[in-house]
Amino acid sequence: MYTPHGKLHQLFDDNFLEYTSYVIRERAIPDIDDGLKPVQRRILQTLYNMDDGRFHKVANVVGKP
Amino acid sequence: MLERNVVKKNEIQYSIRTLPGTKKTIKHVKKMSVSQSIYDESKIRTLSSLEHIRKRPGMYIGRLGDGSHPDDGIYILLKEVVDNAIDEFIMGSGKRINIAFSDDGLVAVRDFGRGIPLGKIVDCVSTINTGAKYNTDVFQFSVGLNGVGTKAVNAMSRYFKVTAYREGIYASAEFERGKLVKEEQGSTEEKNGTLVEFEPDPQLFPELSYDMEYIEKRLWRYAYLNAGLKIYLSRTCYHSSKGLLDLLEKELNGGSIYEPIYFKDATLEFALSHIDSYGDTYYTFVNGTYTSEGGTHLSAFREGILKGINEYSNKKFVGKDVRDGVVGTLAIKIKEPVFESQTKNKLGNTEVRSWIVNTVKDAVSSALYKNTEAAEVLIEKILRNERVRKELQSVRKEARAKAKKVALKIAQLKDCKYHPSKGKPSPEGRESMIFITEGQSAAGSIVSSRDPMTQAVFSLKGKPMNVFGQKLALLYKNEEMYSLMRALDIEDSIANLRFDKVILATDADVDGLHIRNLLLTFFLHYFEPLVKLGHIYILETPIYRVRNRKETIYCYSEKEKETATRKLQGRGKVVKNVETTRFKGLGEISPKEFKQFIGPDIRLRNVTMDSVSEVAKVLSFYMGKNTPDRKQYIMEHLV
Repeated sequence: MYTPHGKLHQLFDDNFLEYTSYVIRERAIPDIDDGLKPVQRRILQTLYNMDDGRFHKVANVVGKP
Repeated sequence: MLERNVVKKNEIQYSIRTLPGTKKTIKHVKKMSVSQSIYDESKIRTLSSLEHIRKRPGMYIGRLGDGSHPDDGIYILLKEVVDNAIDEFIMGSGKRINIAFSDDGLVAVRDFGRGIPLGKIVDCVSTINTGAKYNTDVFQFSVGLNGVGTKAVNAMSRYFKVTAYREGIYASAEFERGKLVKEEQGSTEEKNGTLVEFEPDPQLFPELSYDMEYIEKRLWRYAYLNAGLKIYLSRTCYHSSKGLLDLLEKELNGGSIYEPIYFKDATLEFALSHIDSYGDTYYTFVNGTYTSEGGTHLSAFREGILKGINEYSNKKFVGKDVRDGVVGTLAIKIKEPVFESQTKNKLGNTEVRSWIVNTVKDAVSSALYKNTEAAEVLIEKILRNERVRKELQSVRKEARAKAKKVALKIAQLKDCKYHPSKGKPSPEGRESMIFITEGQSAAGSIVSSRDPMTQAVFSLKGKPMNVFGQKLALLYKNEEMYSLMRALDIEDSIANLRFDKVILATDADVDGLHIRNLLLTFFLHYFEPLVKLGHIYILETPIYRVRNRKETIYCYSEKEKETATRKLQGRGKVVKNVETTRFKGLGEISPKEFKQFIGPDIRLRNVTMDSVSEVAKVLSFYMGKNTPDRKQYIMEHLV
């Protein structure tokens, strides 16, 4: 009750830092080599894999590994 | 009195006890199995009192435990000893108490009171039903009335020593597991008082460790209840000059909207104020014991507040409007407290009602007359509460009508069969629980592996909304939040909660952590008592599965994984093949495997909070609109 860091505070802090750090490192910061964020690179890779000279619907790109 | 009887095979036990004030009780415990055994005079046993304490510790100190829960035995032992020291202070002798923990587990408590009368020192700590507290002149308002406390500590200690100092002469007695081993008398230069040293018996408390947080909490409580008393634990001093007012201010943490109302006389002390939120919080004490479940004195206190405010304002406010936002502390002293349970957390005396109601009413109204500024703020807050309530009523009606139209069923909920209800809690071993999962896939595997009698599942769709700072009306506008509230049935009152445990079963990845925070925010913001009463849990699920051909080990952390891998690889020169799988989400664990994680060996972590003021601080920092501060914080603490 009287400590600066209560149990609840500790819990919130751990969850929060873990999540924010992940989001910042793995989602939000562009790579120094190509300026791409991980999600953008994934899309390019998928497009590259799918490319066979024909047209594709954009909707079909979604969910492709 | 609570009595736990353990029936051993082929043995029928009678326990016969007589205590002053209680009727002679004979309890017959029937044997469950049919097998016959001889039952004659030789089977009847009479235990000496200290022997009985060792044999049935639960009857005297509740649970034994290992120190991880604030009500565990070792804290009760400490409490019993400190209570006696406090009783000396209450009677006006000894303004200081020293407490010390040594490394080998010895606890020493020294008070500077009158000291136990030297001739009776052995009796006082070892003969049950002995003490000065039956004598109302010497001790008027004490908690321990039964003459059991110190004796229980004595019986449950490997080593126990009591020393009393009186006018230059001292007497001491040493015990081991309740047996007297040494007695001494002589002259001394110590000041008057009593010193009790004890070491909890490892036979009864095998894995014991003190959590200093709990002890500090208790000591602060003593300090607040006994203004002027100084308690020293090693170098730290626990001291409060304004008593309950200090406790209230600590709890409010600057959040009060007007200067607290404070009142104190010989037998009743209270302090109260409003904060800008909903719901009310009270800390109530009877003769120095914290009554966590309230009781008659609390309801009388609440009634008194309402009457006092209505008298001052000359209006007829509804109880709920007046009480929304109240934080109050109350301590009363009564001569013969009656508690509804042995653990003393709910008072049962009915005759205190009119006395408390009247005193509180008069004190509140006269305080408001004196401080009109505070009174104005208070009345404004009540009017605001009234407005919110009425506003909510109309929104609620709309939402209900809408919900009726759609369907009475809640789509996301897979319900279980048994539920606790008001006044009819779940029987032991059949507590029901609800798992709140993220997404359909995780819900799927829990649904097919759960026990449909007691385990329900509620699946969220994606991340829930951050509700911090939102109005109550949002509960009715946001479909997800509304369904969750309906599923738990906590709309009207927390007491209606349909489950004993609300378990956050999110994935063990970072998004799961985020959802936990969002859900906790939801509960803390709208249904704080749910967290305060310890209904919220977090399900721990394994992150790794390590297996070879013979054995499978589930690991809950990186460290466990490493030890498990080493173990399965074997000691021989040939390193055996070990397969390690990382579970990305709960949905990946197959129902068959999942069964063991939510079965009897379920791993749950209770979410606890330490104070009301902490919640507001935590929420506003982590979930509020203070982005720049948070950004700075993240940059400093990035992991």
